[in-house]
Amino acid sequence: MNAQPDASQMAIARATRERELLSDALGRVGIGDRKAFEFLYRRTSAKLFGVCLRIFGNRNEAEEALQDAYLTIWSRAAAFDRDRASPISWLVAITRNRAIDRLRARDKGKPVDLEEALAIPDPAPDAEKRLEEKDEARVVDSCIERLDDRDANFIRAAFWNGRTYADLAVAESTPLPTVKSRIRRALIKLRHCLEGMS
Amino acid sequence: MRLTDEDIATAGELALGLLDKAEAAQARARLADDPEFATEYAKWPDRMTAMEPLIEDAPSPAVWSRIDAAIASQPRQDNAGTHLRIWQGLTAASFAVALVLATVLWRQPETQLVPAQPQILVAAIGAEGGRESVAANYNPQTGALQIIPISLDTGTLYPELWIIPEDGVARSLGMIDPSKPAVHSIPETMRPHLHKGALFAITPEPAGGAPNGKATGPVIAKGAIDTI
Repeated sequence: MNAQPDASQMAIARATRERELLSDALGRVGIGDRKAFEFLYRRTSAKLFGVCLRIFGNRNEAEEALQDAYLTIWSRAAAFDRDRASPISWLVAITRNRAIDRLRARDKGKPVDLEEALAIPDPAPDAEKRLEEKDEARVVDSCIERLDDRDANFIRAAFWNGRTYADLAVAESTPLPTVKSRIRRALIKLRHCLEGMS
Repeated sequence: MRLTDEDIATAGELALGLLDKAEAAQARARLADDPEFATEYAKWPDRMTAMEPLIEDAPSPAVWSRIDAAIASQPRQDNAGTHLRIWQGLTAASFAVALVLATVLWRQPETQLVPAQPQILVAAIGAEGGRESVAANYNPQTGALQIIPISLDTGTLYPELWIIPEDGVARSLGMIDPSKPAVHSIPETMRPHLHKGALFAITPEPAGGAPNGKATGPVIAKGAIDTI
């Protein structure tokens, strides 16, 4: 207990400080402060670009999606509520949602590639970062292990690839309501596991 | 109020984009007035990125240039933040308190990222003996005008905001939303008129605003701009 607490306390303090900085910046962006917006961009664009790259897999489309996301952030910053959401979570949500909208618009009318739809994404996490977050990662991994593989994969594919219940129902030749209630149960299980262990 | 498992699943489905349009609209409406549900919803992106850590990467510098150019060319006009929702329940009686609070809220986000604290201008727009009251904050550096309606009723007409500087000529600042706080971006050409001593006025006008930029209704509320 004596050797390590300083490091973990420092990590927590750093995370809290970062959260406050970003929340303050978002508050200022909400009243039209362009300097704060630039600060926010410098501080978060690598991460949000990671979100776009994960969704599009090619830099050009990912950069267009990123631009779109930041313009949305600029216009909606006033709606950010620091008491309800962490700033980075809010930014990731906007970026993900805008990117998925673009993805769906692009692929509209295209037949769904079922293989691709439910393919297991290659996580390829940054080893060093993963190490730093190892406690959190261990919690998450053990929670995912408790889920059916198909459910875990679908939950990922819904968030990162914009997959819908209809896609899953077709892929598994299962009625949609059955698929829906199964995934709802998986979401509840995952959430309780994550909240219970953190 | 505790969230049920059903609520938890719905918040997750909303975050993952799994609800159909009608369900999503219903769930989104709930975000506004159920803080627990909103918090639960807001946690999903963190959970998803924890499940699959992101690979961070720097976008090309051109992306920022395009974003910066886009926001420079299109001033925004949209609703003010949720933490301002507390204003909605206020009555005219608490107007003075509200104005002080508005000032405090505005000044609150003190950080090192923008060293110079801008000189914020404020105005209490009201009517003597009347019930209409609106608080206004203006940041001359950004041109952001925050309008906080506390009590404003124009019946079947719509409230239009005017600025009247020393020359006595009323210039329209556009329509304001009587139901909720909003931040308006004041056009560059209008900004010189918003200074200490200039007068805000509100008149009831037809939908779309006063024709030809001339007020048709009586001034139902007014207030001079002052420094904090």
